Amino acid sequence: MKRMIFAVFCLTAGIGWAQDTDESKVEKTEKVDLRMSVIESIVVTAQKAPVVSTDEPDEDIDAILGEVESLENEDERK
Amino acid sequence: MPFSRGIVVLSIDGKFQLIQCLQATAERDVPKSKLTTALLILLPLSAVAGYRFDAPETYLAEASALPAWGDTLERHADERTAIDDCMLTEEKCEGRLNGLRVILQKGANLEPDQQLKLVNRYINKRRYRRDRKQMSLSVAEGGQAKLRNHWSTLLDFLYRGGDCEDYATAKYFLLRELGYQADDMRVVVSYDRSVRQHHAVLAIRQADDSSWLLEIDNTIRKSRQSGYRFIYALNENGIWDHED
Repeated sequence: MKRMIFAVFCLTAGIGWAQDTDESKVEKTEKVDLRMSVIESIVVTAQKAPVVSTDEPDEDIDAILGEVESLENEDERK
Repeated sequence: MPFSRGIVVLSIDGKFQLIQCLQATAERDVPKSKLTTALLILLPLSAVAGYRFDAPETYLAEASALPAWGDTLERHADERTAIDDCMLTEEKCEGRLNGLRVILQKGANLEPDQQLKLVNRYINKRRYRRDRKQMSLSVAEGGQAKLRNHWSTLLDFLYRGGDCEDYATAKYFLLRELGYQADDMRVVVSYDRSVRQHHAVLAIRQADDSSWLLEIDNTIRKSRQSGYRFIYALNENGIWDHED
């Protein structure tokens, strides 16, 4: 008899736990969907134009960018 | 005095540390009115703290949950064949790929700091262009036309230019080509209080878990105070939600 009561208790608790888990999963999915739709609707609009670098000069970088620029100019002339 | 020392530490480190410290000070019998005042002063400061990667609870979903971004990742994966071919054989390089080849080959020999500077300056030289925010008509949303962000691939951007989120994604893809790990970079969409607009920058995780922000005006923002309110971030591994 005790075993039977224990088995029924475990079964009830198990069903309750499974339902809770399902509900929390659904709740979480709904929350993520809602947040995703908000994120998707945010339009990035900052209109900052790039400006000339004020960084410290770096010869290595300047040389590489110079080479790239001449390749691109050559390409545009073609 | 522990309380005032706490204020200095927290104002540079963000909300989480702030609450932790206030809890600690509460245990030292600091009057509640002082704690409330500190919270009122410090919460706005914490909102402009630097971007932090180490907040697992902010993970929201996988990258494909944002269809426009998922689509960009797929297109970039397709374009990588052209980049790889160009890197292997110079004759296969066309147009902007010639310059990209130089950046990747020579950039590989630079120090990490210089690599960031190079990528920032190379990408920022591109034409700034208001992007074609994609208008999509959704019947499910009452048939209203909605603007959506367009996320550029690297080659897309090199040929056509773009606006701030395109600069950030182009830097992301280029640094990936230079060997940076996806987990150490995120394109962060934020609200720029100074211009009252949404803005996007690339955040690079540093060894001490602080981050540097690669800006569109060639600045690399290393300060712990960003001036931005971070909204969400993404990379190829996921999307993180930073709104409370």
